[in-house]
Amino acid sequence: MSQLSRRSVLRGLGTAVALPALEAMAAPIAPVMSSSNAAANGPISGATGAPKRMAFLYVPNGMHMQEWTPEKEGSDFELKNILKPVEKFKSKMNLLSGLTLNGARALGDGGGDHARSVAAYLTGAHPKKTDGKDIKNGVSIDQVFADELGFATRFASLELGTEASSQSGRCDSGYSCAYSSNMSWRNSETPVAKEVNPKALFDRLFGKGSIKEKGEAKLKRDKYKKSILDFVMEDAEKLKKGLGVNDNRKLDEYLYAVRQAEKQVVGVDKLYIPESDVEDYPRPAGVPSEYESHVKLMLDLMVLAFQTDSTRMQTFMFTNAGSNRNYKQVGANMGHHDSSHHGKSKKKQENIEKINTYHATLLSHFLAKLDAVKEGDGTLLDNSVIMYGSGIGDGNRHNHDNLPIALFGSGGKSFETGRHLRFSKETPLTNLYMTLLDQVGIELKSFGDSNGKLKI
Amino acid sequence: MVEQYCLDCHSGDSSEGDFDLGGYRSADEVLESREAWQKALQRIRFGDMPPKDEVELNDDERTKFIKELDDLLNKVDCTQGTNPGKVTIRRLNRIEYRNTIKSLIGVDYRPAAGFPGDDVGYGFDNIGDVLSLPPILLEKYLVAAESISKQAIVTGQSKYQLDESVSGNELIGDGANNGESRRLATVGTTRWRVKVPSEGKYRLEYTVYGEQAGNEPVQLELISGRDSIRKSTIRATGKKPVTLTQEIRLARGIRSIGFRFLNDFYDPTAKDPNLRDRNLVITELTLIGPVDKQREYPATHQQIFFIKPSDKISEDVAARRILTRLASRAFRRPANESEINRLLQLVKLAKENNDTFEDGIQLALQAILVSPHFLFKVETPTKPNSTRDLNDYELATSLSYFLWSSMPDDELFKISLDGKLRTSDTLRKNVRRMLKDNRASELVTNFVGQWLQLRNLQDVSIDEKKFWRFKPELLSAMKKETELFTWDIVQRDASILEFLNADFTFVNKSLSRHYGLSRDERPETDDEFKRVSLTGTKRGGLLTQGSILVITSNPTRTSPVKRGRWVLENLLNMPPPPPAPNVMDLEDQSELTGTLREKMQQHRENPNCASCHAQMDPLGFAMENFDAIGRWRETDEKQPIDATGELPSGKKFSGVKELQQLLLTEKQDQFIRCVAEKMLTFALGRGIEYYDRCAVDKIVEHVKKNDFRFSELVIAIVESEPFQKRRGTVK
Repeated sequence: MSQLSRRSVLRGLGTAVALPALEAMAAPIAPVMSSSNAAANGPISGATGAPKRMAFLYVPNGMHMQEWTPEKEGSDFELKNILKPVEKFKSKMNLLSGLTLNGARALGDGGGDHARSVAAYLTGAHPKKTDGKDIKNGVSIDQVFADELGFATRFASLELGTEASSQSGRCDSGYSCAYSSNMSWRNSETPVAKEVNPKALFDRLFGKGSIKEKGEAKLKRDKYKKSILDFVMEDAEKLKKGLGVNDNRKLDEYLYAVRQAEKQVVGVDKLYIPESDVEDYPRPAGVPSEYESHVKLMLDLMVLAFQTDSTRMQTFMFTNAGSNRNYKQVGANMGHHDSSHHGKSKKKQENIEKINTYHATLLSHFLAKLDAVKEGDGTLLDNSVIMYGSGIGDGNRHNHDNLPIALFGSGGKSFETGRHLRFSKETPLTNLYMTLLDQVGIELKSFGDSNGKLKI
Repeated sequence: MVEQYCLDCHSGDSSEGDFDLGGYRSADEVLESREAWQKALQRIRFGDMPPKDEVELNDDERTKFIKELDDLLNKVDCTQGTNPGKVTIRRLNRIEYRNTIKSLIGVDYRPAAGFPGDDVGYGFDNIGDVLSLPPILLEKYLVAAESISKQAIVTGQSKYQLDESVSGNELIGDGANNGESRRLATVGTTRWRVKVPSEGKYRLEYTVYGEQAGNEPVQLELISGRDSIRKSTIRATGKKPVTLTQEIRLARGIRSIGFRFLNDFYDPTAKDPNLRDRNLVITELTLIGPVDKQREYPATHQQIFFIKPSDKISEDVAARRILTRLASRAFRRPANESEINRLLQLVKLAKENNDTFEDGIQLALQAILVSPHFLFKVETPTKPNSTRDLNDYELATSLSYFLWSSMPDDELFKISLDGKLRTSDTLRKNVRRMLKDNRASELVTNFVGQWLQLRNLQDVSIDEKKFWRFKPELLSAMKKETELFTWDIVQRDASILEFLNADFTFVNKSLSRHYGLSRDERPETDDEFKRVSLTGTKRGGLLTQGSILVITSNPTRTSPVKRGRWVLENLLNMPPPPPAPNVMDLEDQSELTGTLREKMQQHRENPNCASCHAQMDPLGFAMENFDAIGRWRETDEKQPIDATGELPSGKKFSGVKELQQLLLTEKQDQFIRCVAEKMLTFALGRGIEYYDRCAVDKIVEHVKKNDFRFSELVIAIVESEPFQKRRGTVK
């Protein structure tokens, strides 16, 4: 046997799969042109005249696919158990089967599917396996959107979740926690941390007691804040001179953050709240101890953020990757991750199905609120694209093809809804992102591992 | 050898595992891809590469192969000037931020705990390269700076001062509101309930008038509590109310100030309708004070305003001195002229906007707290390709964040100011002083907590059905046990070998019971932790502590693999490579039968898994006498526990105590080296590189020569080149 190596055997069997060129994934994105978004303020008005919004929602550990994928395709399909909670929105939904996230595959890096799947979810990149200094992933779709269109709103984007980054140890088989707890990436080296506290989010959006603050006092406060930011900006720019490459990168991060903060001060006049339409939402007290209240609060605030046009791009992680949370409130006593590896155990399959269904119930809460906000002749939901899914297909198999991906809303009648579409094997998920970006006037040559646009 | 054993699979365009070792023509070229080759070395060391079904490699050949590759990759000539490395600028993590604010300002800013989680690299959350600063964190820094500066500096009135005005319609008791005023139409008392912040003499101003009628003017009695203070005749009318002033002594708390109308008159038959009814009207009240005392300020305020503008000291001079001191402490080095001038601009801005001097300092403080010089531990850049000593301020900063997770104290700052930190044994003296200080407990919670992964205890899930008697409070007790145990070693300056052979520990009531320890030494409550002797028990040393046993278990059972891996990673610094893709959990392999040990033996028959598990599993099995929640047991699933094992060297052992002993004898150097490398990582805030080998060698030598004392380990690290010097990066 020793003369005939395993490798040669594989070669002989014709299973040596050519690996995709990694460089292509790491290549910087290059916007070609953005003619349709030339207007200064309402660059992405849809057919209804309201701004187009997007949100990307993530659930961990894949899905129990048997109870996710409908039997039939086209517009005549029946929802399976997991998606029953969103039945009401079936006519506003597109269920996309067959999409693949190649970057989440091992590609020679061994274990760590959870960390990889969330790092690749919105980037389509193949994250570098490291738990240390040389973090490398790719830019995520929401940050491309934020870079191009974020100028129109006070917040270029919002990154939200329920669990902050883990504090200690590696998060998944040699992958840094930065991968498993962030899905938004400003560039290949910088994940964007999430806000998980509803109170803090509320304050960011609407200010602490800013309603009471009289005009003049507020003006002065902003003037002071601006002068502080100018001061520290000068500090940072002086400091940057003469520093090494890595130090410079850190200072760039700092400067970027200062400019974002500055934008909020300057852009405060952009805060448009049609007060009669916005429900008088109380300032949350903090992080609720119950998961359900926590998620609902965050989702409610997301609706408010869209409704007040504070931002047009939001991401939300139901939990961090590989979460082993249990959901006793719906009778799922086993941990999420543990039961996703069900090994055909019936009990575990029931458990995972309960969890998947539960998350869909929370999703329906979000969709209902979006759909209750009237905008023109449609609703806020109609003018948005809400993507819901996971970077793993079947949690038991840890596969990254045939992902569970559902779209809600039509981005202001940009495409038909109410369908179950199946795409050919190995169609990159990033092709969908190409399409979504295209619909808001951002044309890219490629994104992540995309090889075209998805027809939806 | 590489060619012989590796290249068949790992070369060319479609290399196995996308891991290409081909195409290297010289040793130098190999060194350019050192990282990839280190991975290769790790796997060869563990024996899972080259795979046994591919290549025959006997032990001697393997040893030789490992040595050759190791020499090539890691050999550093320690007699030549070595590279002390470079530390990427480090942001304060949230623990450091909170501690620093406390030392700098005296404010405990609790919301810092809610900052976004700090990124972790090399097992620690203080690594410069990894710590990022997303916009959301900067927003939180801005909010924090505002809140902290407002807590620290009292502008306008202090919280011990009162200057409150209300209009008459806020009074209660008799009478009725009349627009913004209060009108008493019949004899009676209306009251102002006011919160008095401190005891003292207050000045009350009250504006009143009478609706006059009959043959005398309105009579008003002022009452404080139940005491009559003063009676006045009010001749004023609504056209021109009168303001009376009265000083009253008031105690702290809610006080009642009463206004009594004494002489009602009503004659509906009077000719002039305006003269039929006599009433008292109160329009406005002000209470100011205490007027008999200097204004009192909180300590934080007094500390900042150590000098105040006066006739002799201009505001500009005072501001300059206040800000020089504040900024220098915050930046952990003397602030320079241009920084101070720019801060003074902010004070000026506040004045231009009709705010006070204190408001101006408050604004400047906010800027200081968001400046990169505060948020980062800034070091002067080192010229490319040269090496330099850290200056005293940088060294003091490194030292205090290492031992205290906080800024240097005044003493350390003063020594740096005098430039004496490196003279004679000043540095050593200060290390010893700092380790004795209570703030060194931060080293325990932050360094030890992460080295031993104690922080994972908060995420542990324990199966409630199987361990229905387990109270979640035990988890925090276990964490506390290991922290107190370590703190005890630090305080006694004991040998670090005690981590593995101590015959004592710390328990509270529940933990003592959980461990089944003798009742004689059992604390009476759960709040009390007591140092208890373990002589004659089954326990002693880290590997018998609940914290370690629990974080290395699954919810329903022990995991010898996790335990073995924990020992390899944290006590021997030999992390095993990750498992092959698509390996299933034991539970998922229903074809496996028998006891856990038998199941794992079957699992190990898979050659892909065998080599690493041969190293991990025996270590873990030695700990099998402790169940998944850290209790002692003799049987598992009705089978007696077999806690025997064998090191790859052939050395046999049975049970955890023998394992710990073996680690202290056979593996002593490796254990010391592991602790040294972990602590050096934490101290530097960067990962250990191959060129640190000489420094680590020296540290290990020093520790061995000095009875393994904890303080000597710290001193050796502080005196090491990587800690003391920096190398400029090649552009």
